[in-house]
Amino acid sequence: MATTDAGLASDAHEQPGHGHSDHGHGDHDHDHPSYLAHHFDTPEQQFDSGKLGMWLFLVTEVLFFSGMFCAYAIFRAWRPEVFEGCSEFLNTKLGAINTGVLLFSSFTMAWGVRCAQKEQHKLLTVMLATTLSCATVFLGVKAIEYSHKWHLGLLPAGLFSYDASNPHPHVLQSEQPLLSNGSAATLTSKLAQLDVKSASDEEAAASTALSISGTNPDHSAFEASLSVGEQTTVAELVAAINQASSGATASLSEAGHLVYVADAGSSDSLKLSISEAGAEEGAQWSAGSAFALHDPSPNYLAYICAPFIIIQIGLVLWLIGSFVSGNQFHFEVAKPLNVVCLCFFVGVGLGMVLESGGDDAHHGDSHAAVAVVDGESAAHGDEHAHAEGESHEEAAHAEHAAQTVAAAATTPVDSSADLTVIERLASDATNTGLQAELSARQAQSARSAGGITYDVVDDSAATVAATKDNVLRPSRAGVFFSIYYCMTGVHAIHILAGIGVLVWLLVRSVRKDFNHNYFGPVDYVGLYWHIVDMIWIYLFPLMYLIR
Amino acid sequence: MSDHENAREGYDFAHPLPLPMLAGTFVILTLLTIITVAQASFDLGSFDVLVVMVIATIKAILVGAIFMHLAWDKPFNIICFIGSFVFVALFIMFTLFDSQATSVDDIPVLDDAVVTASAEG
Repeated sequence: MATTDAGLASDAHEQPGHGHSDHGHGDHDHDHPSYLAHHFDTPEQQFDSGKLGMWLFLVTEVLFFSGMFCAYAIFRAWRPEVFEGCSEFLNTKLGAINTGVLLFSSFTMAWGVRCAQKEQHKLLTVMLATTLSCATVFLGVKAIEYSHKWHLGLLPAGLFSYDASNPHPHVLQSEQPLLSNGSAATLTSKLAQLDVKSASDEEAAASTALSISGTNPDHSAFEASLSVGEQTTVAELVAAINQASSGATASLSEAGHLVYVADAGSSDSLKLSISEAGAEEGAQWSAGSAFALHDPSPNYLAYICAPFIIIQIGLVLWLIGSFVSGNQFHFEVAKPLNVVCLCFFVGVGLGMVLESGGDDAHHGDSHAAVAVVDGESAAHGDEHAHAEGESHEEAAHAEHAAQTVAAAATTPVDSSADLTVIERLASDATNTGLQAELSARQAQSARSAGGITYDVVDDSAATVAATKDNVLRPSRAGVFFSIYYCMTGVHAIHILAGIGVLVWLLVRSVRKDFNHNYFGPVDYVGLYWHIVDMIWIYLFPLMYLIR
Repeated sequence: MSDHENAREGYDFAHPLPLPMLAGTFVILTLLTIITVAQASFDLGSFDVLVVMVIATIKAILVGAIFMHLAWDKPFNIICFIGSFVFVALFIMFTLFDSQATSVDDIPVLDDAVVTASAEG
């Protein structure tokens, strides 16, 4: 949509100084307005041509996105439970806020088109700046969402490394204990109390070896494991209380296993006590632990924010420079752009508030939901062995991580020793739960002997209760997150592209380029912006609101 | 040379939408978003996806018709845009038929039980 100067001899057909051009419709070329490209007769023709082109582009956009929606539909049709389970990890609040922000930006964009048509130049600049600010707020919230998920290992297939029993894997590597001695001691004493209490409980159906990685401050992990235990009555949770630099609990890690007997009731109270202890640590791991001070894992949020910080610094320098040099036009452009860039950090802040405010509930919800899924399968009587197997598996995972990561500081916990314990306990004929678990594990190892297996519908019931098994299995959950990142990522790229063209519009709007006969660029960018909004309108419920 | 001083054809074609209409559309869209989020807490069973998609489609129609000015646009533009959705529907429907008919789940399962199982030995 270049505005060709009518007097510019850029084309062989256009003769400067001549009233008539060669194409036969040159009846008003002599007053061809500067905004009207020379090959158009009237502004309306120019506008309609541009608009048709824009609509055709939007059609390709729709078809482009439909490929990803199609992938979504196929995988969701195959594994609806994976989508239900994984959707729990998406923060609905953040998604809803982003929807509102995008809708509002659509509104201001439409208003901007109206301003351009009515030649309200100042208001048009304000509207474009507002639209841009909404776009950066959207990206800021998105940055929080993404960095949080990367921290948890909720990554696309192949990289997916989330472990429900150890959702903050990097924190384990921390050299400084995040769990203070005080609360570790609290935990220990609570455990001791429970030990005493439940040891006297003759009804105790299960022996539960509970161990806690002290350096992992995420009590939601405990909640997860314990919720499972609660549902299944028989649970085997293994881990070690190890605290790399804390001498206070060294003896506990020496002990390796803290075996005590717990029934459902006591695990419930244990959950409470751990929550209490965890509350003391609340401040240290808010905001998705992205800001955990001692966290040595890559600070993804910082990487995302870095380009915006650089841009912000550049914009501030530009603003100051233009003010000092007295360049009014540059100053007028730099002012709104500074606000726009600042809004990214507003978005980050908003995301952090919502994410940390909802963190406990969110994690609690997600894990509880998983536990409920477990509970449902357990409710079918015989199958509860599976859930138990799962919980053991998770615990074994945590244990494995603890071994590899903190081997130097702690007594390595040998999982074969736990198996010995299980086998011994299972030798008691009354302990049907553990027997079932053993058989489940045998079946699983037989099945996994081939390394890679393809899931068949008629899985043997002993190995898996399909639900939980499928939901959090890395290969399947990874597929969900592949689709999630692909769709939201491509959408975010569209937002970035939209920001680019909106900045261009903003500059032209400050230059007062648009009038009631020439508002095409604003209208076309508006159309693009609305289609990006429209795609999010579908993305949001399809990703965040699966129940 | 035609007289183009008064009401020239091809000029003054802008059709600014009244602000209350734009604001009203935004309010309705926001309300529909709230409804979408709220309905997620009710268990509507298999109608869930349907309800969500119907609400999203209403929102998309509102955005398209008013914000994108389609309600007053040239019929050809409308046909192009609606046509793209027809093709999307065909694309997704036929792919789904095919995937349902020919395969169940091709995702290779790298079983994480391997770690535990090997330890079991």
